[in-house]
Amino acid sequence: MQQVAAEAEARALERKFDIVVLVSMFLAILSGFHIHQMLTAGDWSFWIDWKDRMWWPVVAPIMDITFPAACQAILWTKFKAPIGATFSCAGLFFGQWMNRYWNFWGWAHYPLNFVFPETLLPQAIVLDGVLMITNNFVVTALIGGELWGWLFYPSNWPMIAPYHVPVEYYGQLMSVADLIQYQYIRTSTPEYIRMVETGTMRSFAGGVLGVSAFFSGFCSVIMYFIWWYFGYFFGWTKFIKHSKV
Amino acid sequence: MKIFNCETGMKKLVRVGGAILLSGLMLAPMSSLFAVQGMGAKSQEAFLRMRTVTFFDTRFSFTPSNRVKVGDEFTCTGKVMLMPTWPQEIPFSGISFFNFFVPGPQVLRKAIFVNEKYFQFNSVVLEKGGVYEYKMINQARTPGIWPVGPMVSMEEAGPFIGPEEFLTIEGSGAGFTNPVKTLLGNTIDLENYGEGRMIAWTLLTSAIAVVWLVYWCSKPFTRRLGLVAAGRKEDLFSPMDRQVCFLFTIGTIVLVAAAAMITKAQYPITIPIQETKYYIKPLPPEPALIQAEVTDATYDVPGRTLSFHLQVKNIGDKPVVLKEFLTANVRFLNPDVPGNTWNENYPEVNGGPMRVTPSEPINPGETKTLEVSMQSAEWENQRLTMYHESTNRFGGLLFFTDTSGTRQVFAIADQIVIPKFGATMGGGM
Repeated sequence: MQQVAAEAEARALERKFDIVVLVSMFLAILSGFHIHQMLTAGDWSFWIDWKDRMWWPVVAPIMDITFPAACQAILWTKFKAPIGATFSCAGLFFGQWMNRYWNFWGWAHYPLNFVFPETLLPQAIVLDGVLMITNNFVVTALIGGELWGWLFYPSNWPMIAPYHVPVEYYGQLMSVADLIQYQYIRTSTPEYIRMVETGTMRSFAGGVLGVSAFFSGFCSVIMYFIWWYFGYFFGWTKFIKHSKV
Repeated sequence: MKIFNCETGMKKLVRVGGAILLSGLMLAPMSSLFAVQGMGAKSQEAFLRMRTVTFFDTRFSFTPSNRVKVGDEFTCTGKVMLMPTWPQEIPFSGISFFNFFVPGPQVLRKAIFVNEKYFQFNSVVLEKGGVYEYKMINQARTPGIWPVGPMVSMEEAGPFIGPEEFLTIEGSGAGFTNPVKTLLGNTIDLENYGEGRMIAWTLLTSAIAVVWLVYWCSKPFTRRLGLVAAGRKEDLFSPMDRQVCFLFTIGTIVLVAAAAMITKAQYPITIPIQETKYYIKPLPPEPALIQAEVTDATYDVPGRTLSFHLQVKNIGDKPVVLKEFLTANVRFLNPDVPGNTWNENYPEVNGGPMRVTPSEPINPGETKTLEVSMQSAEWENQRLTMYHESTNRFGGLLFFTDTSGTRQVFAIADQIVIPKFGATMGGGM
């Protein structure tokens, strides 16, 4: 009887410890991934009129497969938990929403339809699923990485499609996204997109979405390998030889 | 008798002190000491502000009260000159975007016209030496006090900031709408258009991810580390785990594909985001009244006085006077010209008087060398002294008028300035 009670207590303690570990990991990954995303994808993720420009479906997935790959390297090789990609993308998504809600909307008064973040969660679940099904990080990189690039655009199209409805404004043809960015002033920095951007998704008459998705997936495969090894290296615990401990 | 415990006391002191320090740090940004004062034009180099883009004739329709209500429209009009001699240090592509500065969308930019042509949401290509007239129509959106003004952003060169005013927007932002009619015939409100759909899809995909995470995290987690290390990986997965994994993976792909196709059916007509660049011709040149050349310039550091010699030839048929010098949104007026007094409604900074010697008008056909001198604290306040900078040249616009009121704007764009470090007060040459 006493042994049963002790075991129950141990289980409860173990769950509490699990929660502490998971919450700490979630917050740490959230911070790191969010900073990484702000520095690399940055404006590509902030504004509705940047979404669907030529580089968004290329830049965002390539920059965002990094942490999922690194987290999978740790959570799969050490814990055999197929949650690395979803766990990190959920952290990023949560951090992004806090940022967009409190800072962009609450503080700077941008409407949420101008600044909402893109979702990576469907691709993340698929990436985790492929890793578990194949149990092989090389195959996951090749198949999961390509799927990551391909799924990005359709995962977000349900949200961004309404912003591509045409509007006539002062005799000019604009999309709703164009009009939002024109009317809701960003003061200065993002204006350079209008200066440097020389093509949109449909610049070459037939459209470059498929090419962009394929290229994005191809680069995501490479990034997956690189960041898997980052994760593997930083998750390595054999830094000190036993004899020196 | 209570005995003071040194250790406990110190701990308490550290705790209270830390709490005060932390509170101070957290509250500091809210302090008026840190209040935003304008758009930071003064942080740009003097030569950049004086020799690249110069705004003039700027007027705001809300002056002199500087107050509007939420929903009110107001205009900002004026002209801008791209200085003919552009500094070598600053790249020039001419690819620019006319903008209205305000910290965020506190006002809506409803329309901008450049040389009476509607200015698109894309970039334009401008010419050196060209003068462009702009009209910006804006709508007040968020209550508060905001610095506002015209602005030109240029590729590689950065933002050039025009004169500013502080605008007070009164009323409540609640209930503000921004209706627009689309080419499909429906009227939408840009304030929240598409928001419900976006939130619904966000919640759906998030819910799937949360269920996936909860499924795996509901199992003992930390213990897995030990089991993997012990080589018992296979014990960690049940057949159900593999079925769940397969279901989520394939289900997510199917869901995304279905949602994209349904969306395509719901929005059969969509257009790509627009992109182009186009040219705007500058305004035709103003009537030529004078020919002029700056021969030398000095800046008296202790006296805070910029002085230069200007050789002027009147090529018109009426006497001409030098009325004003404008640089980096600071104006200096010649007090010897009748009626040339400062108007409080001007958004520029009042630099003070501009002394012109000799003060008599220049007659038709006559050539005179004018000595122009401006003593003002604004040289220092506006950080327009150049002796600290790597490029000690100045620029600006001189405004000449004849007796009929015809005006000629003359640009000084590349004049070297010799500082006088030891000169006494008084300026002059």
